[in-house]
Amino acid sequence: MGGALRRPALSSFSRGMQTVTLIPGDGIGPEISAAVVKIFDAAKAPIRWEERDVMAIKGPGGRWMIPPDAKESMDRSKIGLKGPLKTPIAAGHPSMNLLLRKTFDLYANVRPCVSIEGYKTPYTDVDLVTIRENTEGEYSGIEHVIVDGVVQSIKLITENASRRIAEYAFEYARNNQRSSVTAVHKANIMRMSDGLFLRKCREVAEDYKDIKFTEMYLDTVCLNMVQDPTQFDILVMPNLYGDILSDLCAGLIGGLGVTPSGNIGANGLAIFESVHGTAPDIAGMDLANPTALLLSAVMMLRHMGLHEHASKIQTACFDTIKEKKVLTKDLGGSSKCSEFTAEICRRVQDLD
Amino acid sequence: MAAALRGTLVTLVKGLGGARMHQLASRPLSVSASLCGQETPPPRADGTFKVTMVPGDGVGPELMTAVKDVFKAGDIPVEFEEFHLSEVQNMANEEKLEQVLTSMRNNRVAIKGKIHTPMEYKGELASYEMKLRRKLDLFANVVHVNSLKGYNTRHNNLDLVIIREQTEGEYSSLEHESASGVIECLKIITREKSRRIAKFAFDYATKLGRNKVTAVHKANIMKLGDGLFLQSCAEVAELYPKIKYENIIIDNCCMQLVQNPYQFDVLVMPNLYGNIIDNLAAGLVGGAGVVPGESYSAEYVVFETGARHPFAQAVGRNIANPTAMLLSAANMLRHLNLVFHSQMVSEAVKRVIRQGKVNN
Repeated sequence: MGGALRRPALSSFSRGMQTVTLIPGDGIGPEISAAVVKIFDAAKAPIRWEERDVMAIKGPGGRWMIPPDAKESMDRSKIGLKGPLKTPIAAGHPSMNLLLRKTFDLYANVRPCVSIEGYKTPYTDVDLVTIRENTEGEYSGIEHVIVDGVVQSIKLITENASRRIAEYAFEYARNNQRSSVTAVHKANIMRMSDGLFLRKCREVAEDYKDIKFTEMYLDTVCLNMVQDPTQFDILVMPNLYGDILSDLCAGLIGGLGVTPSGNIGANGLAIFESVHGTAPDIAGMDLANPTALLLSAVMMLRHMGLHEHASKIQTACFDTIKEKKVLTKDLGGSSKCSEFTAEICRRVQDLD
Repeated sequence: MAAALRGTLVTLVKGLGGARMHQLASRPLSVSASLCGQETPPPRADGTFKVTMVPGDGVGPELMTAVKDVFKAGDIPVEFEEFHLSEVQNMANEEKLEQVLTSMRNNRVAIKGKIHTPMEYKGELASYEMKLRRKLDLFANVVHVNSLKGYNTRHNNLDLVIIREQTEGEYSSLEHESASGVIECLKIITREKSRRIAKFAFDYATKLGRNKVTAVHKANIMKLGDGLFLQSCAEVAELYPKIKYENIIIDNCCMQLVQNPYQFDVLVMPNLYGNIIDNLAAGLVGGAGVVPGESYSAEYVVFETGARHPFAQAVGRNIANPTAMLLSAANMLRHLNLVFHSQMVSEAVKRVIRQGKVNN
């Protein structure tokens, strides 16, 4: 399984219309998705949106699955953009994100964290990417109660998954002109498991001599990250460390409301998403901030090779935030979502 | 009878390194420490205290020299019993470990640097540092994160206490290859140890007059494991109505620490998250060289730095920052009830930093 990521020739992307499966999500999801669609229209991006819903349904055999039309659309288009999904408690089915991950074998979670000029945080000049293995590790969900009062959780590390994520990290570095990849681990404590992960990273590094490869302990990374985040470029790591570090890096640039994220699956499939919550308290009131979803969509454009459109939209978005005139409430302003969107659309058209 | 009790405790502690299912060398929640202490060594006639010192690797020896120099200058009545235990320099074996343990058990107080764990897998899954921790049952690691005037960091006036369970969790050293290319690592959480660390955290908060204890976990994913930890914390929290109890998920906690660390007071968490948050918080106030920490067991206490790194690149270059070790030594003096000397050392350190004359 796996094999090389088959990417269609660049020309078919840039000339014709490309289909993207859009999953608006819950809460503020529909509003921000509409905002993104409007901005893409203004930028004249060659994207044809196919909206689908991913409410879990019980398939034949009693196993939970996503609706077949959603799966069919994703399999056809190979690219998805997803808004925030509500995780219902006690609904009987596993979280939707987990279901999507298993259905499409989304093994890599990529989060580029770039400081946004205009949205001030104590950390400026952050420009790094965290690549996290998303299928195994500490989140394998295998837990048992051995005796009452003693619980055992199993962390699984396999050769294949480690090699796959390492290969993806180096490919990403090459495709995006990044200079170094750092493997984050705790092999001094978890000698066999993280040791295996590290060995695979080292092996893959041999095939990519043009990219600098370093390894660093998780605690050292945390220590240095909050003192000087500019020393990091691409970080690759197993599941739990990735979860923590990617959220840490999101905090450095301003939180989940401005952080894009992409999930890469086997067979060249990719789903880009915003990682914030559904914010039910402001849903439907035109107060939401579409930046996270917009930046994820920009990431998607770059993945598809549409760099020109991506840069245009990103510049418009960053310029709007830098101007500080029209900002949504969480960014420190008092404008509505529609006003923010309109401003970005205007800038995009001006840049043409 | 005391000797017999001591003998049993020693055997019990020796057995801690091996079996997973064992009786903990800890006292039940209802008994106070003074009732089941071992026979204390008789106080010396000249009033000096004996403290075990393990310099460790990397810049450890240099930092220890700094501590000794400061103590000599301040005429502090502490005598150090030094042991050089080191895995990377091949000075470690079971015998040496036993010597160190005996000394620690006699003196009850120790100060140490980090014993570095070599990267190569030499066939043993537990490092010497972990063995030491287990045999003495040093279950609680406390790190004091205080902003120091004179250090310009992005967040000023921080005052956090981070309490970390140190003996179980992800650092259980239980790994095996179940199939070719598949490795399983076990993380163990027990109710007893979770309750113990929670009680320690609340007791410590009460002693220091703190208002809030926040438990850090990932129970939304590891429902049984961290769920048990969380449940134990909640149970213990009910015994302390004056202290506010909250909980937060680890990834959100990291994000909040870099955006708004002032919302936290005392944090309590299992092993791995503790490692991460210790280092994160140390970075917030100026780095590994600034944060003191200590490890407690029911009977012993070991003083060390908060963020434990051997910092091998700095060896011999006289650039390592001794602040953390000196502040920890000051804490040790306070623990020994040498309050005057403790304040002397910590004031001196803070004054030097404030003046900004000598900075690493």
